[in-house]
Amino acid sequence: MKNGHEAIREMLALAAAGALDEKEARLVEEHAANCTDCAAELERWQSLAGALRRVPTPQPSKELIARVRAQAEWKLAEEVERRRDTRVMVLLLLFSWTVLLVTWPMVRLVGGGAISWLETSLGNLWFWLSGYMLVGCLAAGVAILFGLRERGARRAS
Amino acid sequence: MSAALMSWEEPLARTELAAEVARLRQGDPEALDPLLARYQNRLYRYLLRLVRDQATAEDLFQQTWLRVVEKVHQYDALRSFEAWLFALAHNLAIDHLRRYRPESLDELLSPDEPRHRQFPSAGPDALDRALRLERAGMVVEALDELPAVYRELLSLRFEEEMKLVEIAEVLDVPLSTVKTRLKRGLERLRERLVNLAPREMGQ
Repeated sequence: MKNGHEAIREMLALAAAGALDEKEARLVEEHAANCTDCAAELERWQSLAGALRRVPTPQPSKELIARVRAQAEWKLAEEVERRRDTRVMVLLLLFSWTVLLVTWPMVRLVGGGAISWLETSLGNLWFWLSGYMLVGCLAAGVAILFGLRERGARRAS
Repeated sequence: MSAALMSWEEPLARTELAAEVARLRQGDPEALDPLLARYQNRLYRYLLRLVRDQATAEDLFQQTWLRVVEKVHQYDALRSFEAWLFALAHNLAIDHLRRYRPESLDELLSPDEPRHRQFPSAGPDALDRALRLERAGMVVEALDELPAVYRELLSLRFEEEMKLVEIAEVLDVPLSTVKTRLKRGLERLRERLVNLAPREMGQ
């Protein structure tokens, strides 16, 4: 590392800003102890840094803070609701799949002969299973639409 | 004494902050008040320095807090909340400047020019005079005349008293860039002050 007079001089501004690492800061300190020129220059940078730290602080108005507080609270409630909705949706989906799968054997049992006859004639169990699932999903879709409509009405009020 | 105080006071403040952030994540609106109180002045000052216009700063201030509420569940609790908050504000301000005042972005997004500055020979004395006058208004005036990139950096370092690594996180640039900009910003500020001083004294 260069530690000549010129190199140190280049580091003085950062030294005053407290932006040097330990080793660099020590180099500057040692040099400034023996070089009045650099010591004076460092002092100038330090007074500039000091002046910057003392710049008056503009403050936000109370009205602004109150407005931001109110809007943030509203947004927070909305976010919480949105995240809860997502969780509920996932749970409902899992639940409905489970219910559909569990009730399928019952449907077969009740539908008994007819379905097994259709099955052999069409030869596809999966066709019937997916048809049954589709009916379930449509029912869920209608339920979701109702839910959204009700929430819209709640929010409007 | 002060060192001993720092050693327990700082982690305590950090735990408090972490608890407030955690409450906000859970959707507790009461957590908004301590967080706002903690950062409102600093965040507003930073935005005002960056955009130099009260109405815009107020608007961005509001947008930043809404963004906080919206994104707080994505915030990584192991990182500095302060750096995260100021980074949100920085990004919103940059978007705003890019959209409405592209000319004011000047060097904010372009690489730093490698350039060596020499002070006029009268420099040191003029600076001494300017600073001895202790006219804070003059420092603010000089600061305001700097390009946004330096205004922002000097504000983060000297007003917000952020560490260089935190500044690097806020601006999303390497540490070396922060140092270069800090040095150049100080040099430019000094130059502006030296130029302003005789004018002020002549009045």
